[in-house]
Amino acid sequence: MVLVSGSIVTNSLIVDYQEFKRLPRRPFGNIIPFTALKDVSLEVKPGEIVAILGRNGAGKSTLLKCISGFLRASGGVVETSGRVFLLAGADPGLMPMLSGRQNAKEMGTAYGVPADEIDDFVSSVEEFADLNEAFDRNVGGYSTGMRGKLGFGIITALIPDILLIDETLGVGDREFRAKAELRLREFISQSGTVLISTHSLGFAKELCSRGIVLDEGRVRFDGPVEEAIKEYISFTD
Amino acid sequence: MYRRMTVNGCEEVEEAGEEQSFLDQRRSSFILRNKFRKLAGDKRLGVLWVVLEPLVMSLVYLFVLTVLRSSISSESIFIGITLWGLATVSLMSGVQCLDDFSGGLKCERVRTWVLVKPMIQFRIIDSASRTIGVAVILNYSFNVGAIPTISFMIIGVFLGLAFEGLGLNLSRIGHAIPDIKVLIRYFMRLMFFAGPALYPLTYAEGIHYKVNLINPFTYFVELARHLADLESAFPDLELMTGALVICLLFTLTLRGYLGIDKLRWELSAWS
Repeated sequence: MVLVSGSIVTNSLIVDYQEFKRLPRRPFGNIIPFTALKDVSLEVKPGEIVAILGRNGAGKSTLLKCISGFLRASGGVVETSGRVFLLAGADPGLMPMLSGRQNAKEMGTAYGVPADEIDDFVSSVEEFADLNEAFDRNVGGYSTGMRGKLGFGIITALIPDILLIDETLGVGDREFRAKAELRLREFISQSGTVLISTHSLGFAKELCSRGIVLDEGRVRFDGPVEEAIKEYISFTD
Repeated sequence: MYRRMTVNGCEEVEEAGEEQSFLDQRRSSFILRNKFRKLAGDKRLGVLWVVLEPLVMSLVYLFVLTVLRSSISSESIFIGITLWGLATVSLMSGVQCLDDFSGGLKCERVRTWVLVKPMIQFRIIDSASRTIGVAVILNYSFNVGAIPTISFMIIGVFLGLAFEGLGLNLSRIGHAIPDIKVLIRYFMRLMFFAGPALYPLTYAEGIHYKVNLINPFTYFVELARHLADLESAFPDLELMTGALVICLLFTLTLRGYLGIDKLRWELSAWS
């Protein structure tokens, strides 16, 4: 099967985690499988913006990790076409011994920014992160918020075919969050296909056309975002 | 880029285009640079410690053995300690390789060969750097000669690659049962004294000698000593046993490096 760039298909996807547990009767512990996704089948067309809704532990992050290729499925198939970026947290892999500027340059190069655009890329990150002279200091000395600003600035300056977002707006101060939300909207509008795992129903309603509700690892609902939100509210109330 | 992921693997169906291949090259270089940055850490002398460490360690043991009035030659100690340090570092690097399979890029999955290539490059450079300091001393202070000195460095590089590959075979069990890593450390410490690191194999007798015949390290270190015209058991070693041990070691090395993709995929679901 040949997919159009920006498409995602999952077929009967099952994910089992292998967890180490130390139990009273097994003091040396044992590896116990835990099923996080059960028979998840979905198809996302290029250009769709889809909200993934569900309670904590419903399998949202697992689904995104699986689609991004970071996690092995125990059963079923995942197919993607195009470059897939997973935005989980705000650390694209920052190196503490380098400055913010050097990190932006290194990360840009490693994530595929062309050599002739790298200076513009660094300037865009500098402007967004608004770290002033700290941009030329080593990241090892940054606060968590400053690291978040830099990381978020780097990631959102890239343009993927498929963007997977896993609740990332928790960094920085109030002023930065407003700025980050704006940047994220721009980022989403530039990216091909977007899957957003979120608890912010307003954000989902405003940006997404489709909603998928996950519950205990299964797809409970898949349809228009308004109905998905209603479904999510109805079973969580 | 069309990717198909099943329980058996993450397979990229289309061949990488020119642009993707170029990006992969850049990523490999990025990962390699990162490995050296991590190695340098915040130390003032940075990566220079890779060269200095075997020298310092050899000097410490040289001092201890001189105090103990040992008859082992200094060159032999330098060769043994350096190669042992190299073997230990490489083995542990292989065992611990599962700690990070993202290559430092947390937002996008990189191809496995993009990770393996810098891993091998790093091992070659690291092994050569760990032997170069001692090689200079062997050549200039002990007049060992250029060819034996270069041979010592080449042996070091092969030893590094082989032991890292061996470690990769142990990484799965080490990840499942972390206690194994602790046991490997103790085993390596034991073999430091039991193996021919501090002394040539000619000093060993009986069961001690026989056990060392199945220790792959023996063949590397004794060959290096033999080529440097030092006291060595290499000419007396059993050819068949040696060939078997080395063949097994290089088979495991190949298996280790070639199995990274499968290992990476399988262990991504281990939490």
